[in-house]
Amino acid sequence: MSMGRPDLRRLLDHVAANQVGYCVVATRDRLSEDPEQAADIDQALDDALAAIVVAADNTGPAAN
Amino acid sequence: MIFVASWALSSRLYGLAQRFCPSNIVIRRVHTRTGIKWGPLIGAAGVIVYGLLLVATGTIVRDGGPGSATRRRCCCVTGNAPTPPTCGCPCTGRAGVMSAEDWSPSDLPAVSYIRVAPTTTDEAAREVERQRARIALAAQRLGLRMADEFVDVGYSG
Repeated sequence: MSMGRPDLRRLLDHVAANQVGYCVVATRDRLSEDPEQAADIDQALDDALAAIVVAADNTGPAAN
Repeated sequence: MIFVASWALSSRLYGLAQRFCPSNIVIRRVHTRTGIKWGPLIGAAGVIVYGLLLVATGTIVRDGGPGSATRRRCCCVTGNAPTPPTCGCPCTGRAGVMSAEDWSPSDLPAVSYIRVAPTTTDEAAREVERQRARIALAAQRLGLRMADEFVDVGYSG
């Protein structure tokens, strides 16, 4: 997985090393706009048993 | 060898199903000279009973019932034993897609990730705050316990 984003790398290392239930992002494309890279990130989080929560889907129409 | 074994096993299972399964017993009784007149009634009753059973199990599964109910429904629908990664339902205990009504957060902490594309410093700060506010609102609504925040500023992709 090639990612030049240091904090994303730190996040993936963190969820792999610690028990984390969820990874919350504001919108889906914040993780990656590239579908292939998004799938890799998705897989890495899934392997760490962390579910992705997209805030945009969970804030309701009033907040958007 | 495998073919012979599977043939023998299926034949044995067929015999057991014919002897002990209620539907097969009823069908055997209906397929007689005296029982044939009950055929349409028994058929309609079967449709209703099995339909209700499927709906009831589906309702239990949707309301987050025990995993055994999910497995039973998978077996009912597919006719096979469920294989967790491919059967398309939350047999493994983790739902692929979850609506807000079904949500029940675990005790595990949550982390957030914020990414801002390259832009001016002021605009980046505003965008970080926007994303942070959205995440906080969602976390509050879902009852998540936020632990760490990871922020990448000035990265596209």
